[in-house]
Amino acid sequence: MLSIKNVTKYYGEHRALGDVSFDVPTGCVYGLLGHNGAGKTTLIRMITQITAPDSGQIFIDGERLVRKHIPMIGYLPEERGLYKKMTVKEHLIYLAVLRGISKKEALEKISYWLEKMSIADRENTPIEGLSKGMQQKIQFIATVLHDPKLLILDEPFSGFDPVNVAIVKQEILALKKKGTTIIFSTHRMESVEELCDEITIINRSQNVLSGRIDKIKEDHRQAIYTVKIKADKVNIPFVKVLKERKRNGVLRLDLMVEEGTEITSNALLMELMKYGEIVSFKEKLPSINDIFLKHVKPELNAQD
Amino acid sequence: MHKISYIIKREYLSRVKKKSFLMMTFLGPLIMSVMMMGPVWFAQLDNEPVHKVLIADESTLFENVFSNTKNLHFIRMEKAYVQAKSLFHASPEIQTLVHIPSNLSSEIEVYTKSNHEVYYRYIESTVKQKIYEHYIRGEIPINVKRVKIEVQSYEKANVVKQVLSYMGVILIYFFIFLYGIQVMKGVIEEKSNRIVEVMISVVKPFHLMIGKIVGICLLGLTQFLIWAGLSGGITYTLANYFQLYRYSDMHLQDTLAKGVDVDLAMDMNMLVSTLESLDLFLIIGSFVFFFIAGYLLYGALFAIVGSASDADTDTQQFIFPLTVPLLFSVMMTPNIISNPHGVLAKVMSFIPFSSPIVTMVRLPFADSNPYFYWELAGAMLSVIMGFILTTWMASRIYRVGILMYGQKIGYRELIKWFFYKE
Repeated sequence: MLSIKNVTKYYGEHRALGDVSFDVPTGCVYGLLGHNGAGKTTLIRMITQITAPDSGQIFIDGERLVRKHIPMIGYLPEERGLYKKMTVKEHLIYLAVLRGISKKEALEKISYWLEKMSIADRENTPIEGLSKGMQQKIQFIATVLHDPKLLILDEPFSGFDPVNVAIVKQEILALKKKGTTIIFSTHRMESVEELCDEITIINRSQNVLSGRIDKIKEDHRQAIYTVKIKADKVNIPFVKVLKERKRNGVLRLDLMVEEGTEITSNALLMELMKYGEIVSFKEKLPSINDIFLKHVKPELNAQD
Repeated sequence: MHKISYIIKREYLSRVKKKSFLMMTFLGPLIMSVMMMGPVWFAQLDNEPVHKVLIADESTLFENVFSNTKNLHFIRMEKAYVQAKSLFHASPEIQTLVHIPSNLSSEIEVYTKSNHEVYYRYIESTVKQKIYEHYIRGEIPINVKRVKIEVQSYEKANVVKQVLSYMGVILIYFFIFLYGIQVMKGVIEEKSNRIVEVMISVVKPFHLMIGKIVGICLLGLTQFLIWAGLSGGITYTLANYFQLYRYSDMHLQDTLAKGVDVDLAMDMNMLVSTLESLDLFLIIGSFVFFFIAGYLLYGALFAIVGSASDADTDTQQFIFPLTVPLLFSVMMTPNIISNPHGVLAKVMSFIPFSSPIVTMVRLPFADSNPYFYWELAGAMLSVIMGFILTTWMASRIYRVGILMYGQKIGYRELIKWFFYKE
């Protein structure tokens, strides 16, 4: 769907992006992770053609990105707003027509979406008369009204109330099902695991990690296992006990196989079985948050 | 093109429906007429001092013509003109010298030490009026229309033309400034609403800027047309009501014969004949041109100010330098009226930033300069080049500025943005 190739951008002396490359496959939710100021927004602004790269290229469906692709894209910026004096309907029509949809088609889609977001009764209300939550819904509708093939959401949940977060998450997944490719940019990791199929982590203007979430987690597995076992003490060579808690005669352990030791989970299980009855055994994969922090931590001091 | 026209439409419609616009559009002509009538009314309250006028009557035809009025005392000399002239120069109390050549072989000349145009006009019309009165009674054997009065000391100033000049200046200044500010406010509003990034992901920043500038321009033209229509309607109605056509050059003699107040008739004649002599289409057409071009020039600069500001309060440092050329041109208006085709006037009408105002001042005086139309064309060209330049500058700064939040912006940043690559 989207291919970023060796993109570099300078603002004066400041390097906003340095040689960033990655591919976004069709129909996935793609997480773009990074601290504030890492270069996410600069990259998004290049995909939306607000600005252009100094060097490198962006391709969409194999074609060089040009202005005719704009109607394919829906963009909800982090800094987003509405024309306060316009009514809901006027505002939505305005943006839809500018994106190349006929007024008639826009009206049909508007009533569909307003109905779906249960604000159909407000279509003739001036936007300044709406609650903040409703305004957020309008912003989302304005972004997806023209059925974009590529939807870019920059910190979509910042400032959203929890009810709207749930609604928008649901809509994101529904759009993904319909085949929409979604780029989801955030510096908060909570929603990433829930929504994203692939991610790229950008740190200090560079791509430090790209790939499928399951693959990344696999790559970052540290051979840590969570075990519940009916035993008093467990002591296996080459295995470090990270955490130990005992409740109602059940020992809860976080075990880490020491580096340099090759031991399969089956072998470890066999070892454990010698100590008592196993209640549960599970490999603990690192969370995206752990992975993110691991990749950006060395630079953390330089940020902010 | 379709997108721009759609943006223009929104910018226009969202403003034209505002109450403040309607108020201003319909109250504007009223306020203007009060502003214009005010000084006239005050002037009438003034007690004019008595002025002495020396009449050097070599023709001896005007023996009993010049009787004293409330403000003018006439001293008649049948001596040679040279003697009268030296007396005029020697006596400070004598303000004015009227030279009537023998047999009226050449024009009647009026010299005055006063450079007060109202006073001069008064002398001119009084002298003219005295001559008319006697002509009508058959006491002067010449056709009044053949008497020409030539004023030496003062450019043939004309209150009607001056009023037109000032009206042009006020309107142009008002339109450029108020509508320029609207562009700035519109940009700031889009910025502080945070709608701007959504917009420029859909349309080019340049289109958004031009759409706004043109939309507001149409708003200004709408207002001007309504004003012009209303004022034209009011003037036409009043003119008919007072039967002003009676005082045109064509009908003046008949009207005077019917025994109207001569003072009034002469004043009205000057008003009517000046208006008739002016090319009103040229003046109104030029006004529309200089409003559009001048507004585009300044509107682009105001768009820069808007793009560099997060709130109205940040704009002061940038607005001030924008107003300097406009204000300076307004301040120079009296000088330009007194010498509408002098060096100052010419230079200022070729500078795009002052041209809209200065050219409006000069337009009513077009007839006294054979090269004026060339200069007008030059002035128009300079403003066109000016707005192409400012719009280009604005498009480069605007596209960066609208995405900058929470920074203190100075001129250094504006220059830096100008040189940013796309």
